[in-house]
Amino acid sequence: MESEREIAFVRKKFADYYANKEIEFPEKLEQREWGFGGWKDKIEARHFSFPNSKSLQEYFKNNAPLYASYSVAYYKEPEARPIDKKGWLGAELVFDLDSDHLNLPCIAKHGKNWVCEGCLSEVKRHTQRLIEDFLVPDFGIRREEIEVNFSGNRGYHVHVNNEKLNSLESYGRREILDYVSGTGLDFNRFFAKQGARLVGPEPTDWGWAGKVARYALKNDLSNILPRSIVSKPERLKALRKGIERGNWDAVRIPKKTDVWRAFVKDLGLRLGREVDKQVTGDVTKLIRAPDTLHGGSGLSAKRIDFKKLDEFDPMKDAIVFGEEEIEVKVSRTPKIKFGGKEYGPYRGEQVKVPEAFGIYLICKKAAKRL
Amino acid sequence: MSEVLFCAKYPFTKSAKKLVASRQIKLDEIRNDSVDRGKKRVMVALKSGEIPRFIDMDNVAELELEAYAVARILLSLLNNRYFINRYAVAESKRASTYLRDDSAENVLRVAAEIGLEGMQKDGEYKMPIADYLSVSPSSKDYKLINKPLKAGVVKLSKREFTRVLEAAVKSSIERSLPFRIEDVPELLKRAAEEIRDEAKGLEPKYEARFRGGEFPQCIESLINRLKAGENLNHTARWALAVFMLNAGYRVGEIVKLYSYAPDYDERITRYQVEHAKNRGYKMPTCEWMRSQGIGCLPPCGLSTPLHHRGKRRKVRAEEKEG
Ligand SMILES: [Zn+2]
Repeated sequence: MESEREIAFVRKKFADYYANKEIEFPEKLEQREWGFGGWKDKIEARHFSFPNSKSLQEYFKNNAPLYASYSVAYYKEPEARPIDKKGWLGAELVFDLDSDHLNLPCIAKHGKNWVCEGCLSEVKRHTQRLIEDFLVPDFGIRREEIEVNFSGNRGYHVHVNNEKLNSLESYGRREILDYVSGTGLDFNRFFAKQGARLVGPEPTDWGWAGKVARYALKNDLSNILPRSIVSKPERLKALRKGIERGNWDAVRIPKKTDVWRAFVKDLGLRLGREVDKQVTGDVTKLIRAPDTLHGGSGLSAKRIDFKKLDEFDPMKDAIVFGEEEIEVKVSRTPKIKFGGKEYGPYRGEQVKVPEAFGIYLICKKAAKRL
Repeated sequence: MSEVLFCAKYPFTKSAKKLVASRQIKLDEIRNDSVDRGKKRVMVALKSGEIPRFIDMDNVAELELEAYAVARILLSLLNNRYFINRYAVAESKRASTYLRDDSAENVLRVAAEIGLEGMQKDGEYKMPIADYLSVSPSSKDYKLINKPLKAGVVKLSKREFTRVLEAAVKSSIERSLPFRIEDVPELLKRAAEEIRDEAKGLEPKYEARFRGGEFPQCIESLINRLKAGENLNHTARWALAVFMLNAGYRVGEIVKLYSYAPDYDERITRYQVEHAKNRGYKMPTCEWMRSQGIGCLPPCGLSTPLHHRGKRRKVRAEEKEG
């Protein structure tokens, strides 16, 4: 096999890491199913269970898995198979925010295999909005019930551990997903014509109604309103004053209903097209274990205190390997910012790079060890 | 309202179960007229989809409670999903008519006794989101995103709150039946057999075939759920009807298909299907189907379920060429 040297190298490094690392494992550990992955697949084997964190720690030390994930669900018998024999008891609510879902224009520049600072800051903004605009104010989830970790590659995972929500079945979870992604929002329920006047939600309204009004007040509206309004501060001000009282017609806007309809359409969080595959809606899904290594990047799926999410930079703070230089042959890459330094773009050259970055490239399958 | 009246109006509540249990009636002590009343309750539910209200008197209420208990035994003996689901719809509708007229105190009591939290102030009802999502009817009107939600509670009108309770009652009755029952006296067995005979024509038989092959998976699954006696929500029914109409089925054929629905009413169904036809509704997209939770799983990759046929034709044409 061609990549054998790389696999052995990465495994060795992962093993060294796990030998000295105490991992904080999830609650209800003994009720979780675990899955582990290797070079080819993120999940090669599943249906594992561990009676306590000591046995799991042992497993990591001995096997140094390239990927480790556990079930969002907890079961009576997590190792039983098939899945319906496990005895489902409940499941955390987990949101998977991936920059790949955001349809960012920069993807065309750097390709799907890579992330840039733009990707990472945009997906972080989505994560913050999920927590601050939805989970806390609307769903009433307490901050202690929320845990955020870097996905290990290009996004964030938000775990919600709320006893009552944990028992929701797929239908309820999909409703929550639709809620945060703005799917199925019924415009006509929030906006109505009174005579010729367009009446809509007020910022203090509950739920999406208030959200729509608040976004309209906060947003600079420059890409949805005609220039004739945006360029005149007094007209914008009048418009905003109207919206505060639910009058969305304080300023004449051509095709107003279409304009606001388009505005409302784009307010949800972008959580990926194949929403049915989202962890949130699937009660049997496995999700990356926080604080374990991601075999596709060599970075840690690090837990983050989300009050400090603003300062978190995964390409610095999720690095676990060292500065010692190693020599690698790199295929093609875009320019990459890693550990505070810029590298590349590479076009098939031999370079000496810090070990952490070398492992990153090897895990991305863009470099060979020399 | 006396306790027995409350229990007879809401015979699925914890209080009602407790009251019935306290009477300590043994199976072989159930009298002939009680069995008859139980049988009648099942039959009227199966035939008309409704169970009439009773006269507000304590002694009548006692008989009602007994009839409910017997009806459950008979349905367990019959062990027929279609009967159970149709019965559950009728029971929940009956409860709903009581709830609509009842005091906030009783409405909240019923909620609590079927395991749902609720609050009421100045005629405005609230329900914690987890309770709401565990029972809310899956229709556009009750979709979470269109509901006022704040700090973990959903605001509802009394009508909406009782509609949510109705859905909860229905699914709790559906889930609680059939139950295991042993040493059944002849009297009850015979009554169950009588129901089986009398209800023979009531179970729908219509087989829908898709001209030119198989239905797209999302539609197939709706039809199967319908046939299994599941009470499809409004959105799912609408999508199915629009698909069938666009695929060239006649109104009569579609109405027959809906006869599987546990709350089937020929007149209303015909009216709705004709209405859909006259409106000339276009088939919604696969994306929309997905957002309503009735899309293909895994996603089919088409843009509308109607393309399913087109795709098949195309595949065939390609095969011929090759
Ligand atoms: Zn980017």
